[in-house]
Amino acid sequence: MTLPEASAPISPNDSDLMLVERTVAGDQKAFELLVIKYQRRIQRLIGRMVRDVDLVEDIAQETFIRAYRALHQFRGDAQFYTWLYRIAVNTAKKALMELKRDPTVSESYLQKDDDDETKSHGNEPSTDDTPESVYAANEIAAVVNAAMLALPEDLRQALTLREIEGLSYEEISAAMNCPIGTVRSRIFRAREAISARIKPMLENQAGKRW
Amino acid sequence: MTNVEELKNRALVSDLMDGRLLGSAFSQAVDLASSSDAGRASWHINHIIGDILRFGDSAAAATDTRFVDRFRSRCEQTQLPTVLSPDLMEHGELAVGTLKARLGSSSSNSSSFRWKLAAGVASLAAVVAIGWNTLTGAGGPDFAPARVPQLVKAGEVAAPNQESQIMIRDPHLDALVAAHKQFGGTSALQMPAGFLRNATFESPAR
Repeated sequence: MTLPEASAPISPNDSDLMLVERTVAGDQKAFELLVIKYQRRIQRLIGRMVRDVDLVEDIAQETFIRAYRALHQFRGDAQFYTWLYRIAVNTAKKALMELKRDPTVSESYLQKDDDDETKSHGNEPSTDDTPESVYAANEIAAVVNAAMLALPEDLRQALTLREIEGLSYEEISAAMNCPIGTVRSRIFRAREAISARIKPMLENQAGKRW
Repeated sequence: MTNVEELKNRALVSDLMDGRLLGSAFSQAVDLASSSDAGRASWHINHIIGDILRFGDSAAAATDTRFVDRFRSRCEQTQLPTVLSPDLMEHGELAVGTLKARLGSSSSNSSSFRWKLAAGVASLAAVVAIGWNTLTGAGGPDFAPARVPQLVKAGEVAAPNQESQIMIRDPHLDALVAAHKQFGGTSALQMPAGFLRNATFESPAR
């Protein structure tokens, strides 16, 4: 059932909560969707703490494993990512303690940095990247940005308000002065247009399979 | 699957990303995004697009589906317990196999409770045992009433007190000690050690 236009807005965070509930009900694949959604942000966060090629992915894996084990304790009081963030930071700290190393970046810096998700962090290379994967990632990012610029104005505006500004469909509807159904359609078409540009690039990368 | 169906499915995944689905549509979209290749790809690519637009750096474009594969295999290898809500367990809405897996696994909560229970019972038993021994006087030397030491003069075989206590002496040993008494007057440090012997054998009149 798709939400009717007059219904209360549901944020993507509510979607996270629904996926958590489904996982707690016994569907592990629902949690895998959360892993896909947050793996880059978690690896990015850990990469700024650890800066060790071999450790970042291991700690990220451990983070998701711990989150999965403790998922029944997640009450939904905070956003799922906030909860996951705490687990990631604690897991990274523990790993560094075991290796008798100090985090290279303080947690307060990370917290301040993470509050503003739209802030660009420059072109910091991820620590677990090879030159080839860095090049491929740069290329994909460039294509996404180029495809975004090439979109018709209404599609670009709808996707910008959704992805960058984080507005709900209802808020976008009010901002663009159009029905929610139109917002939904514009966002989907924008994603389709960009996806069509980068999908071949992703499929050509070695080891990629869905 | 026709192109129209594929398009519908991708639209469903897009709605799922934005939290626009409820009930059966939500379930259908989750199944689609997690089980089918096309749905999974759509979920993955749309999130990559979102991350690139939000963060603006190339790190957001780092894509590796092997991460999820590795997570799945780790779950299988370590046999992580299926996370179940208590409500579902009470209402019996779960498959028997899943429930057995849950009960057979080492849940930290239930395990912790059992250990606490065992520790509590052990503590209570220890307190009762100590209390009983204290009250009845049947405990070890620390809890028994102090007894008056029985002094025995050298040469006496036994000096039982009025009660049934018997001190066993070996006459041969006594004779040996008496014969070598002259060598026991001083220690290797040339300190008189006689008082020690006297302390043992002297009468209470001291």
